[in-house]
Amino acid sequence: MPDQTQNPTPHAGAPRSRSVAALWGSGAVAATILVLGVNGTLSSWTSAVIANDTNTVKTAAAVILSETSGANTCFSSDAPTTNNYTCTTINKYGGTAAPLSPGQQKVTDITFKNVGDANAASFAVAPGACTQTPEAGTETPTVADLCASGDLTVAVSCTAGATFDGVPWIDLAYTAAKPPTAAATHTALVGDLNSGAQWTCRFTVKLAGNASVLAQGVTVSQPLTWTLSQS
Amino acid sequence: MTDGVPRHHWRTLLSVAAVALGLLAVSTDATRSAWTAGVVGGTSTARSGELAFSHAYQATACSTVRRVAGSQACSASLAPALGATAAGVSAVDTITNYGTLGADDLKGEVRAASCAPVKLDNRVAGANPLLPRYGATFSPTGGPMTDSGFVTLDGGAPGGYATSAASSTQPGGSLLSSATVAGIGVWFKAAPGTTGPLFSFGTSPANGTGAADRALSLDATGKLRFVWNVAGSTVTSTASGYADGLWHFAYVTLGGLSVLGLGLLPRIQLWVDGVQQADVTGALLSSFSSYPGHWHLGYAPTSVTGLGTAYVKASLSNFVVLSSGSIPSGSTLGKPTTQTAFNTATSNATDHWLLADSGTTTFDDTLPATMSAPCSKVNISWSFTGPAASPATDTPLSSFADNTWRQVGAPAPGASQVATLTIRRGVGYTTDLSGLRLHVPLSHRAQSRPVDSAWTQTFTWSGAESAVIG
Repeated sequence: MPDQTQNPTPHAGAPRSRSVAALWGSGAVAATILVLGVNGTLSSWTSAVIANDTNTVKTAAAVILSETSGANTCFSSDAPTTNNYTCTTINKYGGTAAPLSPGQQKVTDITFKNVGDANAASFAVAPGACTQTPEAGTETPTVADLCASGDLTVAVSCTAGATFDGVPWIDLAYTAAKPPTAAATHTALVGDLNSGAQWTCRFTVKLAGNASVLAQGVTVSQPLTWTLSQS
Repeated sequence: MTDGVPRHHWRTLLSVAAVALGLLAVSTDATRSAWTAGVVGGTSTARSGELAFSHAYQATACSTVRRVAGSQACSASLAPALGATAAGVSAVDTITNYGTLGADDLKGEVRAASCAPVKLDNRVAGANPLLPRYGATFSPTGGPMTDSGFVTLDGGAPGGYATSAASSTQPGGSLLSSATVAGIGVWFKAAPGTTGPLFSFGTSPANGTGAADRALSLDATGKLRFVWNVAGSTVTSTASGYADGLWHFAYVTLGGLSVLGLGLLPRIQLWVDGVQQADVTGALLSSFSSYPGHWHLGYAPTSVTGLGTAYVKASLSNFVVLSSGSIPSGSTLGKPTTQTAFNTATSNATDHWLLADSGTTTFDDTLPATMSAPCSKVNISWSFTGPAASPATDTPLSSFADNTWRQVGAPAPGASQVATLTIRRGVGYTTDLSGLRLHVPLSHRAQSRPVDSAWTQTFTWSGAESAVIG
């Protein structure tokens, strides 16, 4: 018997070569199946998957009012659930630190802004009741009624923009008179209350030059409520 | 299905549904309103200022309160209590702003309205009033008789006294006749122990050297002594104790007594309260002195009276001099009980100083040459600190007292401004001006700015006690 190991012949070695090739082929097929199985091609056969990665929702736009005087700013959204905030850091009547003398006036500019995303249709002010300390008619000599006498006057005028400049609104304005009692509303005009818009109101509080001496030492207080509305 | 559910269960379900819908509606509305309206509220305040000031000076205060305007009459004086010196005498006034108006909101000003010497009016000779000097107070009422007043002299050193503005010559020497030719009287009230002169006559327009006589004084026992000539001839009352705190009327008459073969001799009679206390005839060849001079109330040189003081601490009323016409005797004059009766009894007076003046009436007529234009010879300096101002700097009172307001600024609330007022003898000053009471109404006005308003408080020192002592 010939030593096949010493003298191999092509014919004598052909079955062995086919077996090796079959092995390599089977491995390749198995590897291919494995790869296909792993990358899902074959896994999709066993599970159904839908990816949904762009789920979004959008809230409605709101109006938010801010008012700024110097370094102080108040937002209606400082009361986030009601959007109705009471601001204690901004005094539009000049305050009490430097009392008024006859003929003297205090001018305060307040800049309002619609910091919400919605455009507004109106801006309104509602004055509350004017009160004073000490009360009129008390003490000796008798204290004058500064809320009603006209010795103390309040004037309000507003213009579009971040500074008081330009043509004043005619629908929200108070000429110099005793502290106002009637509400006033400005209706949006050419987008002056739109989102991002600013407008500035100037408050001029004056003690008349002929003010009674009985008007001395009186603190006058009045709430003012500012409402920015979409409708 | 309805048939399968009991009716009351349906009602319960409907109720729950209604409540749920209601809550939904409410919550939806609230949410929507918060989104559709932004609201910012807040209370704004303004305060009116207060105008209130005070002055503190020479242990006296004068202040105002807020809500009061107008003029505030202040007592005492901003000026020094002492008379002017060459170096100057000063008084300090502290002005405090206890209102709330700031210094920039206030206008502070001072003013001297006028200047003139104070007078004690002469009822019968208007050009010859008495001019009070140094410490004197004035009482238009409450004198010894109904409707009479009085002055009170302080008996200081120098003490208050008064001198007649005009020079006069009293009858004397050979001019005297056998009749009574002169009468001199004064009401006085002095506390026990008081000594000093009630009046005298002398050449000095003030308290200088020179001849002097006709000096009536209270001596240490309360007796009245009258030196009736420059030689020092003296008459003394019989009774004593007139320094008793009560009003008395002393009256001296001068006349002549014809002594057969010896000619005329001076005769002096002293009356107190209508009762004769002395009746003395002068020695042969003695006579009444007669020379130009001035009457002095409350002053006589110690060299004449022999007393330890040239001044008196006493109240005096109705100084009267009769030197012409019919001279009433002391008994005729008596002790009148009303001013009217006194005036009637002394209707022939040459000079009659009621001494019922307010101390603020002034004399603008002719003064002795050495006393002319006194306000131009007394200077004022008025300086302020905090804030600083100098409305007057060694300025003659005649220039400064022109009724013009001068700016001095005002202190901040709670702060004080200090004013110093100095009185100094100026150019042309003579000692005959010493102690002259100059009526110089001073005012300080605080007013609000920026406009002239009713918020003005004016402090004024215009009373008799506020006189500047020259």
